[in-house]
Amino acid sequence: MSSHNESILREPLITGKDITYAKITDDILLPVENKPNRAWWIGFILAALGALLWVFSVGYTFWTGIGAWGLNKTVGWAWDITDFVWWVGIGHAGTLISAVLLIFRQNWRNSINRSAEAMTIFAVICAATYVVAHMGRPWLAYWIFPLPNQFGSLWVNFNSPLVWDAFAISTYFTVSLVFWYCGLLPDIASVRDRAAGLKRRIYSIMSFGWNGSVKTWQRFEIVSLILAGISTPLVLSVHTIVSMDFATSVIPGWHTTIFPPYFVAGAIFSGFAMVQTLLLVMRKVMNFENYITMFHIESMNKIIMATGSIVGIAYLTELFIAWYSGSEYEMYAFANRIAGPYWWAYWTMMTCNVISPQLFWFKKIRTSIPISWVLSIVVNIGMWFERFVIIVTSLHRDYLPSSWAMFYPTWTDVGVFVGSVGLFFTMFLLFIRFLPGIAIAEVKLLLKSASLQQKSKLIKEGHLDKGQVEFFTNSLTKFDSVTEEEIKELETK
Amino acid sequence: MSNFKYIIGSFADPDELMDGIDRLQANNVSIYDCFTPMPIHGIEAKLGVKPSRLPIAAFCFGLLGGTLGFSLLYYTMFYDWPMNIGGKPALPLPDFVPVTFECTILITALGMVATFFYRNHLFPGRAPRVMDLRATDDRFILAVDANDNADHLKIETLLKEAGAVEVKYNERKYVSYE
Amino acid sequence: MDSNKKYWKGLEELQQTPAFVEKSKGEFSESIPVEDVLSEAGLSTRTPRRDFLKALGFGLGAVTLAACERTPAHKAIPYLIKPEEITPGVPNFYASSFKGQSVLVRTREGRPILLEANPSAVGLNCGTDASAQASILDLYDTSKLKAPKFKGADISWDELDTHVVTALDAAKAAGKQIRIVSSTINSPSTIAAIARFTEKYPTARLVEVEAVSYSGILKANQNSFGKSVVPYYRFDNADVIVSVAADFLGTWLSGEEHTQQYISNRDYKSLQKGKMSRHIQFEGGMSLTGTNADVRVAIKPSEEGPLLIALYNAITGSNLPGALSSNQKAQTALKLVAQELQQARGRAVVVAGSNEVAIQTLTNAINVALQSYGSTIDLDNPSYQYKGDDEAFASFLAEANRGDVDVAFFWESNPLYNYPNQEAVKAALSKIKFKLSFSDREDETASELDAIAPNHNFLESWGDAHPRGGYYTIVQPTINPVYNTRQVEHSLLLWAGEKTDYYTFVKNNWEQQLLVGSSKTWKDVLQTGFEYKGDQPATTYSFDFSTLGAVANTLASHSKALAKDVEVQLYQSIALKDGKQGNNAYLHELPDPVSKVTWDNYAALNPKFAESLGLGENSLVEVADDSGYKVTLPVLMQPGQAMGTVSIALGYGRTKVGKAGNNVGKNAYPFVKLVNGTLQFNTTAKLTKASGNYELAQTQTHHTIEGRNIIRETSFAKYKENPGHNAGSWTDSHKTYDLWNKYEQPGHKWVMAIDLNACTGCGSCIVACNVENNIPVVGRDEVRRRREMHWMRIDRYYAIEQGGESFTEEDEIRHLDDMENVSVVHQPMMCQHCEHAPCETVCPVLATVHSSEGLNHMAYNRCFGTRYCANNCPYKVRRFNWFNYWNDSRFDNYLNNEFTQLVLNPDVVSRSRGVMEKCSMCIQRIQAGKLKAKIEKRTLKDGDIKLACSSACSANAIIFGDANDPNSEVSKALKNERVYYVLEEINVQPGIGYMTKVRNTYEA
Repeated sequence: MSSHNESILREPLITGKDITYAKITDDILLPVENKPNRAWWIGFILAALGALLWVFSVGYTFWTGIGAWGLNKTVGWAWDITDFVWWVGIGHAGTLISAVLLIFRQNWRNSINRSAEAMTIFAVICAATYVVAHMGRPWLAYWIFPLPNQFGSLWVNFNSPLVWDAFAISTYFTVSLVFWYCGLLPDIASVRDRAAGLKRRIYSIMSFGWNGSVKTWQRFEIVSLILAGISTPLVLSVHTIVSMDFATSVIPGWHTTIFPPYFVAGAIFSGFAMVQTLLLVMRKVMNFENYITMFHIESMNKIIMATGSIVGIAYLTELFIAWYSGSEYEMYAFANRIAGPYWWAYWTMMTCNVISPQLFWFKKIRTSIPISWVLSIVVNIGMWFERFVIIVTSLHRDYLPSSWAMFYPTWTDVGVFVGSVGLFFTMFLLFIRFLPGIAIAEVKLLLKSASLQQKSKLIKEGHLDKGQVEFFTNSLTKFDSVTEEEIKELETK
Repeated sequence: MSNFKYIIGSFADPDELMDGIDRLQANNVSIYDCFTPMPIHGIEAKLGVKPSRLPIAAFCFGLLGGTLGFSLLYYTMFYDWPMNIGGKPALPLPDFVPVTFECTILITALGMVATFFYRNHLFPGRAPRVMDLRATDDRFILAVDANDNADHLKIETLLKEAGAVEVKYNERKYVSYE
Repeated sequence: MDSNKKYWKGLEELQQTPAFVEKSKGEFSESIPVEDVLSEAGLSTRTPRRDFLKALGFGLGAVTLAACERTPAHKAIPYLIKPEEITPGVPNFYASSFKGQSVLVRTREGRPILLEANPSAVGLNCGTDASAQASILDLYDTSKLKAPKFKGADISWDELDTHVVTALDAAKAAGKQIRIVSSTINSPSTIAAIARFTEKYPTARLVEVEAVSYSGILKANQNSFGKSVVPYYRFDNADVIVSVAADFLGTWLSGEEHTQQYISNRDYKSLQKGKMSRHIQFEGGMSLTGTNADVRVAIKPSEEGPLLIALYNAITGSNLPGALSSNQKAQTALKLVAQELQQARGRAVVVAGSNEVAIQTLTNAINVALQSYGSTIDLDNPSYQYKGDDEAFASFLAEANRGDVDVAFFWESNPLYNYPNQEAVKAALSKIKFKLSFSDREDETASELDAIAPNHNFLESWGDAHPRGGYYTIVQPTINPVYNTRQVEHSLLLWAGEKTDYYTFVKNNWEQQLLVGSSKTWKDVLQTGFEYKGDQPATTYSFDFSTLGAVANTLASHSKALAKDVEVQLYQSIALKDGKQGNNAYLHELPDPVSKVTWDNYAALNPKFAESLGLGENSLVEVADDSGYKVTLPVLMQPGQAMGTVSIALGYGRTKVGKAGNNVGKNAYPFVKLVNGTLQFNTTAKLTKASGNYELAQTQTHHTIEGRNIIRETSFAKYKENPGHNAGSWTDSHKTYDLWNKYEQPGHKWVMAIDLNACTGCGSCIVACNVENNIPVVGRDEVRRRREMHWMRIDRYYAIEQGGESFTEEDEIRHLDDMENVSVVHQPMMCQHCEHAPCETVCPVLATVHSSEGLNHMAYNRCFGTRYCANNCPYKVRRFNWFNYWNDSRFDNYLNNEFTQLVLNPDVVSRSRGVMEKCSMCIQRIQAGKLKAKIEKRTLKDGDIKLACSSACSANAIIFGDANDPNSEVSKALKNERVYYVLEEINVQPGIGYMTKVRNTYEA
């Protein structure tokens, strides 16, 4: 009963021969239970160096003052907020995969949601560092929250999008963390019960004493479902609010009502790109080809393409509205983006975000791992430039030409950004080293329904429509984890 | 003579576990609990486990969060110390939406999960109560209370028929108890 | 029932033995050792227990108080005994004068912190220029000498005196000459003191010299009218003003005074009377005056003479040879100008900036022909501000070379920096036996001399001045001499054997000379700060026109000499003038009114001309004249600059002026030429592209309004048809909606009105604001990074005129081929205190909120520096503290040094790093004003409160006041039809109204 055979037309979510529950556990816990391989070490050292650069750059900024950055009287935000929005955006994919796809019962999420959520958390941490680092007096950052204080009735300004930000980001971080950790409990328990000694003690503490009893599982599923339900509006609200940092201002190029949906789409866009970047490497290094299959890759590419197109339309709408508004300042702001001193940034953005995802219309490209990987990086470069264009080109030439100025980054700007990327990867690599990078329990669910061996069993049993079987076997050809023989074997049936 | 507490039937396949449950229930053997490495849909119905009331808890927490959030805004911005911020009124309701919303979500999530942990006795350092260490790996465990059900041989045969890979007689309730 | 029992301790008390009585007197009393404390022993004296407790008590209080303020002031030393004229926290004002202008010096706890024009000084200038405002910083200049020097070593005054006196006596004995080389001296007392000195040393003589001299005018007037004086110009009587390369609103004679007169015929009051003067400017470089002219025609220096000849011919109908034949634009303009002038006889004036006698003579002729004398030019009450005589100095050098001079004193005179021919000076000096400088620092000259007797700063001195006929102002000290310096007059008197100190000397001089027959006493004068003896009646002057033939010839030859290579025009920058205040950080960071360049001088070239030389933005050019002197200067693209000319500012490139000013820019004085007896500031040079790039630190890098309506202009003719032309409020033409109810502002509502027609862009308001509000000086590099901290700036926009059209958009201008015709407008810009302030909405921590008096407050202590407010400010007037400017060695301009910090205004905190700041409308002054009124139990009157910027403005371009008071000047001004609000259409409801720029152009 628990294994209702799903339609043969659906592509398998788990490939590989004689997969058993035990094998799934073994495969997934491989990196956790064994010494890391060289690939991991190389990656980790590089990332750690990056993190070090971050510590240094941020330390230098705190020591000398924000003057260490390239900002000036006209351009008060540049790389700092660009990076902030970029990281928050990246974060969104995780929640979407784990929440939205759960609500829509997209089973293929089961094998990617764990790492995606981890990515969310680390991305949000990176973003949060900018919230503090960009302040003139970071040691007072806690003032953003309405804390009772010695000044009596001195509260915060709830009209300010920055306060909304603070609430949104911290809520988002907390909820994602809770969601992620609940999901981790059964898997940590598996590690615990296979481990011994100190390792066992530690995982035992982390597992909160999980035992897979019926009632636990029942409540677990309810909790996941409701968390998914509230995370969905949450994730939308977060980037909406981030976009309001700009949308509620008076600066031409910022003061735009289209921002919320456009930012959310952009966030999903860049987020999925980042997931793609990570998973393509992870499945190779950790040998997860059987669980993160071509079907996953292709589906994500499709989402990237879709959201990319939404973003593209948003860009064009912006231009149209700027012209249609008839406001000379608005018109100038956009003319200046296209042909002003920062034209190169605008056109980089356009190429990376609007042109490049359209390549995914071609199945060849969609299903080619190297190209997908390159494009996923291109997309994130583009999304970084989107934020740069929005922030800097709008600020550097606003209303009074007398104070128009250019922005030039300093080494500190660059250091903080590159460093934050290092920080992100350090955290991610540590995660896949010490925690199951794939949700074991949820993958096990798929074994008896959506795995290749299950489906081939059905085919072997033979009373299935020939046409459907053929369709199925054809779909297998793109899988890099399915060998020619396996397909032959099925076709002969 | 019977110094063991529980009879553990461990299955390799969820379907066989379900089958086992059917057989035992047919012979009105009361089942203590099942431990599985993954959720098995429909099992709670079989065992007559009542649907969870967590959603209700979640809803209440949601209400609480919303109220708290709004009252914070109302108190700080309007009641305690209203002032002229960019000419806007002291009670700018549209500007209150984001924060109220975020508070609602936050309290809902935290409250619900806290309840979940509370009801299941989940907390850091809680000693895991597991009857078979493979229950979190590849075994589907069906536990029967040895004292409530006398005829142990029958139970064993039933489990075996259902396809249990192994039947164990646990003297301790929880093997993993530390 | 009260008992009269008496308890006595011991028999002594009972018997009241004398010994006991003696003891018992002082039993509990301990005298407080104030004297000890005040004496050298200071706090090291033994402190009795009770005093200790008192001190402790006070200390506690003091520390608590000090702790309340986050100021960089490290120590707070309370008064032990309060001087009765000083109340801590309440400023005292003393009347004094700066360069002959009567000013009020604002002091706090005994230290001068601000200069303001003396409002009661009727007829004198009631605004101050940038250098006057900044001069306060010179008092606290750490580069000054702390003691006299002899042969490079510190020395006591007595020893120095003996050295000097021996030298003097020797010279006297040998019958050799003694010379006091000084810049202009118009102080009666000083002159008396020198007279006293010459009694003792008959061979002593005063040589007055100015780095930038007006001896051309002096000589010309000598020749024309037999009066070697600089006349006092009355631009307020002039309806038509023609200036040939005279920057009379800026650096020519006393610019601020001229500004005040000039504006009185052009500001909103005059316009409401339907009156506006017309001003035509012919010049090579774009001067401050040029930017304000109704019509500006670019001419080369070599065309100045011919142009004046042509003008003379046109007016008098005579035909002198050598009239202007080139430059079509100028000729056409000239015809109209001539007509204008003739119609305006007696109400017109022609001024020429050249220091050439011939040109000035011809100008005199024209002015005589226009009957200007007695109306717009006053020869009977002349100006005594510039008496420097180039010939006198030349002959001094000659004497010295001959070895006739044994002793020379240099006072306010720095020939080794600012005399064209350095070699000549060096040679001459080497012949002089004893050379002494009164300089307050080891400047270029002083460091080469035998001795330095450092002079007081004017804020430490007694004295007086006689700026122009009839006016006498007083100089009184507002602080004790900070260093071991001595006033020059005092020294001279000492050396002359006079025992009376200089204060008594000045006092006597006034009581015996100046106050004779006046009702005023010395005390009155000290209070009012000046004495006006009334003008001399105008006398008629005859002019011998027959001499003009010769004049014309000289002019022709000069203009021929100039018309080669690239014509160089050497000018004084508004900020640094002739370079005397070369170590003043405020002035270095004051953007040039026209080019907006700080911390440098440069070669200003017309963009098209620069192109032709293969020069562009940021490129360097080598300027070399035939004497072989060459400097490499950064190029500035200056629209309006005459083709084939280059303008270079004097006063830069000082090498021994002090930390701030050393090696800023390049010295251009050596380019100056001494041509038959007068220094010529127009010369020629070769320009060659130099290797390398150099980015000038400009506070404004985009120079046009891109066709935006932030500047509203109209012509006088259009204004007369419709005063509101081009002004107009957005709400007239559009229906506006307000989402929210207005906030009540029952008490005051502080607003400003700014008259674009009055503002000349001189920038003294900027310095005043800096001084008043402790605004950091950030230095060249930070300005390059566009991080200057000025709370108020003056935006300067060009419009390029071509073919009757004016272009303001970048990409249009790129295709124009003529960049000589430029119209300029200056727009003071500071926080607009918007009613719907975008900055307030977005500040997360409520660090900036709106007051019930319409002010946009900024709470520094609450700000944690997200910079969102600055981003969201449509006017970009908010300034961010990128670094700890008051505690960071990289910004050692004035805030870092404990001594220099004494200039800080204690009413305004210095902002810490990471905090946003901006114009507060001098809230400290508003509060003080309200408090004063409250103490005096009266309501606030309009004019009680003056802001730093508005009180510094000679043109009264910035009007501040209470909009809720219908009779206040500002509410009247804001009712003016010309008023418009910048960016009104985005409905931030700014609180500062601007009045349209009106030009009295021809096409109208």
